[in-house]
Amino acid sequence: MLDINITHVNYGHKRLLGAFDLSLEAGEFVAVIGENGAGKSTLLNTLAGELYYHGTIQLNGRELNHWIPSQLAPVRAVMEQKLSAPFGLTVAELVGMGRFWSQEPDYAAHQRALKWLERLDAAKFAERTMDTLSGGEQQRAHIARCLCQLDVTVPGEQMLLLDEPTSALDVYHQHSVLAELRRFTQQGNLVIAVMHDLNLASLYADNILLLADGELKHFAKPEAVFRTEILEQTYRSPVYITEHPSIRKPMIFTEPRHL
Amino acid sequence: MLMTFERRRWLIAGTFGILASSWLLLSSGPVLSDWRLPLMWLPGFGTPMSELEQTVVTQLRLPRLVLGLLVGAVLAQSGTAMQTLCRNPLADPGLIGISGGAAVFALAVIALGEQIGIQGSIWVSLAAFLGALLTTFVVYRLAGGKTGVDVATLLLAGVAINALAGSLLGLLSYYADDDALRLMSFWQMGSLAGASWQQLPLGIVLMGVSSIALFMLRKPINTLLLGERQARYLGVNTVSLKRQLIIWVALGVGGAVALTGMIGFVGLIIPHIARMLVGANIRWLMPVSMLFGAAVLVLTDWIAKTIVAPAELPIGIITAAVGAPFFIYLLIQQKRRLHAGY
Repeated sequence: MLDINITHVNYGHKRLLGAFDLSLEAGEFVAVIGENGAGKSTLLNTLAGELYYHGTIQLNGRELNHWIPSQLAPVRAVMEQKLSAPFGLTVAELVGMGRFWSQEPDYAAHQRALKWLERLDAAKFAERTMDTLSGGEQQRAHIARCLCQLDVTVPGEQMLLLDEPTSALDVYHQHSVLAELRRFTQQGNLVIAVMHDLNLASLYADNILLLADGELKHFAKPEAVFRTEILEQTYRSPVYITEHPSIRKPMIFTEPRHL
Repeated sequence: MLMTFERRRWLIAGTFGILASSWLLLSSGPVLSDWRLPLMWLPGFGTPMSELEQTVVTQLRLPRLVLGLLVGAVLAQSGTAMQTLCRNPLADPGLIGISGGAAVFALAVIALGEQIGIQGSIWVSLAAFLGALLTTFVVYRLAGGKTGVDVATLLLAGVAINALAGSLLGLLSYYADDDALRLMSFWQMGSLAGASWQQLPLGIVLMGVSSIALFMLRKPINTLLLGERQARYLGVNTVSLKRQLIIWVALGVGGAVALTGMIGFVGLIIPHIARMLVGANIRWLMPVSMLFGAAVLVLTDWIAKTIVAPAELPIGIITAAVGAPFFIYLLIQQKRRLHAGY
């Protein structure tokens, strides 16, 4: 569904990303992990079409920069790391903005927005304004906006890019949001999410994409990437890896650092 | 919490404000005042109007009222649009130099038009539009960056352009004859005193087109609240949107400047107050700003012609006297919480 074949992405003379040769399938949940500054957000921005790349990136067989915004909107949504919370804009209005491409009337957009807010356990603050919400509530509102944007009659072949979607969420909402994203991938869609919580990535992602210094180091199932030597090298910290007692996914423990 | 009901209340308040200030402007002034004057069109109105009253109301006050409503609405609307585009509450068409650019071009035609064979209000308006377009474009390009418009650069570009406009206006005054000179000095402070039925159609067309066009764009403009990037992700062609926005703002501000001169700070204060009342959502902010802008400008115009009667103050003096301190207050606020609300 998404075929990436690039030699590099530069900003001026600075190399941000190295060579990528990767095909991502519909129905996949990909977690992008790596150190701070490893190029995770750069990769997401590149896939969002914000950066000039050398090579080809094809979404559904069509070169990324050949899409026009109005055609891309029903196929691809992006949640940035820094979320905007405009003063006096209600949550339902924000989520309804996701329907911009559809040209549907305001009340229809509103109904759809409420549906997604319900799904993300955010219905109770639908009429509050964005600037009055906590960080976690803002995150859920923006995730609802993305899912509302990609809400089409025949789902499939759609791509959702998320930069740290669960960073401000409590445990309950981490799981409810990630479950919702999984449900989205099961409809034949692709989710690429930058994540810092390795255990959550292990529990929900189909494949882990590990970046270091802008280079693609590993792209494989969690069992293959979450190995002691790989993680210790990436994060420069001692790690212990065990197995989740019920679902047999790798679980990662880290050591406290003593002074 | 801002519910639909609460916001609708401000729409109604704005409408009442317009009615009240219109009544005030029609019924009172330095010459004759009678609160029943606006009722003269009613068929069953008891005492018939004298010819003088007829003339004053229909030939002097009514065109002035129409012009005031239009200019107020358009300035506030342009301010709303520019502030959303720049994601900054300080982007006022006057402060960032758009009005100044329009004034230079328009006054060049007034002062020099005779010598190059272009005269008349159509040329003046066209020149004002071109001047506004040019300065909007220059300012936006100067201050525009990858992440939006830089506030400091925006205001500094405005300072530079206003300074340049000032020097060009000074230069023009050397070439202007006495008539043009009087017009120019009045123009630099703005005034609605010149309103007449002859020049109104042009203003209605220029400002009406700009106003309707901006109003139709309110949905895409609204997505800019989330940032230009996110607007693009939502499916907006931001390049084309910005271009359209700049053209319509320039047309509206150019039209306003051509007919009334430079009336500062309306595009700054009104959207700001409206935003505090109904929030940043353009769907509410734009209509409420337009209603408030129209009401406030008409009221200010009434004050301008009443306060030193029988003489008349340029309206720009009053808007600047209220607006400049307000601007300083906004600056202090910005320093405290940079980009808050946007």
